[in-house]
Amino acid sequence: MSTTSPLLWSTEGRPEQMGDGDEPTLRGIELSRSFGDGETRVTALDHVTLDLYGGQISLLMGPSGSGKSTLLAVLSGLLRPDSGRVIALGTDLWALPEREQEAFRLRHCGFIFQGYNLFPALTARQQLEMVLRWGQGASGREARRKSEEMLTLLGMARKSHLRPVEMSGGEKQRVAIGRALMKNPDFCFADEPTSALDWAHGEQVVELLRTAAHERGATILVVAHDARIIPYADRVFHLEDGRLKEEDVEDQGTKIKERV
Amino acid sequence: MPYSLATLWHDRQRFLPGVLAVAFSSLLIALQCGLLLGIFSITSIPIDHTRADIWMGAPEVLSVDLGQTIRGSHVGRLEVQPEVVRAEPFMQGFSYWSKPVGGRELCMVIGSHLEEDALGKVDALSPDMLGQLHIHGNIVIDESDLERLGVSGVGATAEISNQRVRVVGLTHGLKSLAGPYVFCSLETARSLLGGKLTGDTEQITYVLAKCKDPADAPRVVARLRERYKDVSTFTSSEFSFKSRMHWLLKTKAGIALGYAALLGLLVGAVVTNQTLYAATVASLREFAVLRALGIPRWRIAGMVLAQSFWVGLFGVTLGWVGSHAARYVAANMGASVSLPWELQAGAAAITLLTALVSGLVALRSLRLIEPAMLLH
Ligand SMILES: Nc1ncnc2c1ncn2[C@@H]1O[C@H](COP(=O)(O)OP(=O)(O)OP(=O)(O)O)[C@@H](O)[C@H]1O
Ligand SMILES: [Mg+2]
Repeated sequence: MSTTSPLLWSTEGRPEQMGDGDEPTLRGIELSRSFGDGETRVTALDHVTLDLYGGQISLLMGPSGSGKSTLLAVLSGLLRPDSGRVIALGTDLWALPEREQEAFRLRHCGFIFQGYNLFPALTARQQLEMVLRWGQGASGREARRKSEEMLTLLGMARKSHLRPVEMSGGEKQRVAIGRALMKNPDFCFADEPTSALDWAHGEQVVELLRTAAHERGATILVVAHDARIIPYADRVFHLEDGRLKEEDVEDQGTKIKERV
Repeated sequence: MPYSLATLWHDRQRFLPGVLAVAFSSLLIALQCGLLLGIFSITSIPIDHTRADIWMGAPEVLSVDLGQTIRGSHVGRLEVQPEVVRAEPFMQGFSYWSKPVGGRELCMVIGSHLEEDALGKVDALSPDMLGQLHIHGNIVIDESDLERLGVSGVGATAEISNQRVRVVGLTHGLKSLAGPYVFCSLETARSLLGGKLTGDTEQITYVLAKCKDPADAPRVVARLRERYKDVSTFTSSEFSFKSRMHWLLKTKAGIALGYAALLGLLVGAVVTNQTLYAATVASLREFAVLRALGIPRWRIAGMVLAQSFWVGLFGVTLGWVGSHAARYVAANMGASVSLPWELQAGAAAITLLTALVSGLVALRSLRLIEPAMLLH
């Protein structure tokens, strides 16, 4: 987006491991998860191992029911795996007590889900302010300033007073992205953020996420169906029946890097 | 504007039932209490419509209409108090009224001094009536009791305790509960109540007194209470309240009142609780995003409680307006609803508290918030 301001994507004050260094910021090790019992038992994840790096946007693709959402939930601390470990910024996430997991998510994680999930009663600006005020205990004034900056960045400066019913789908998704990126998170997880949008708007969304990765050094994982997103990703993972296809990853990754 | 208030305003359709329920229960409580207070204020008419600051009567008197006789010489006990500028005897007692058409009716005879500034004469007596009451056997009754007493109006005659009385005037708005009020002079009253007033000394029912500064009354009363144990002494407002409360409790009307109030509160609580629960469930996905972002549960709980507070506040405000409107309507229909500020504040506080408790109960909905539900 042309409105992108490098100042706002500042990476100051980040932990060192967030750079484009060799250390992965998020590691999933031998992750397995299944649902149900007996005959109806479904294995959603089958010993999945993967590393994600700061400053990169990784794409997770695969057919419906292949376990993409499950993997994203396990990696982000929303769904406990049956076995395996998640190491985030050097911390074994699932070994933490629930309260500390919550605190970890509060400090480091942003989320974007399909379907916006904005409060119908609140304006675009209030949706963003809420995250800072309730999450960080920011003052009303500070939350307002930062929210306005974020909305400007998203090209929504003049729509900050609109409520969800008054926004287009693309605008709503931009607010949802703003909400996820408000606290300048180290990780951002997005489950099908573009599936409800037409391609033009979907492209904008991916563009925004890519900028966040590249300029903020964030680790971004996006689940998507649409193959048109592939060129925007630094790495692409392919999931099928709960298993990760490794060969795609390297191939695509290097291909994209050369192109960008 | 707080997020809770913004939500309330935006979803006013959803929250309206809760607000109305709270309004309904606060209105019900205020009106019930007010109506009963209004009804029982009839019992304290002799206190509320006269000028005295202090009332002295028989020991342990329960209510003004239940006064027993005391010695007429007790007037002196009040006269000598330095703060008191005037003290007077007052007579009150039940007697039987024989209707000209036949049949008897209980009535309440009230005898007092008749000067323009007398302490015991009710304010509704005009100078003309006062003049005529000097004549023995002349009485004034309230216009609302004409039918009950079986007389047509001014000039009619009847008998009280086999003594002939003549109606010389009618008051307005001095309704009675147990027996119609019959206003007359001390002398007339003494002979009408004669059967009860025997003995060597002149008997009266109360001594009334006026202080130079009405603010001194409580001090004088305290002193007299300390000094004289063979009578009971009250400030007029104390005695008025005591009389009303006595009948409220004695008639068990208070119990009916309690049940009605409880029922109102229950309805308010259930509807408010349902409203808040439904509102939270409707925002489950939004709250789930906040939970995924690591925002603590208590923030969301705080929002639900804040909503319950606003629902309560708007409801109570609406109830307040409603109770005043209802009082106006009731007054036009001849029923007096008394809404002292203590009653209004009490009704508001109880209903607001109920709304907050409903909010607390509605917090169980927060258990439904599950961030994993956002994944597809
Ligand atoms: N809560 C659940 N209970 C039972 N089974 C589940 C649950 N969540 C997921 N599954 C099953 O696990 C498998 C993987 O689901 P998942 O949602 O991860 O797939 P997905 O790759 O995200 O699919 P889609 O592209 O359709 O979103 C599916 O077979 C699904 O039916
Ligand atoms: Mg999915």
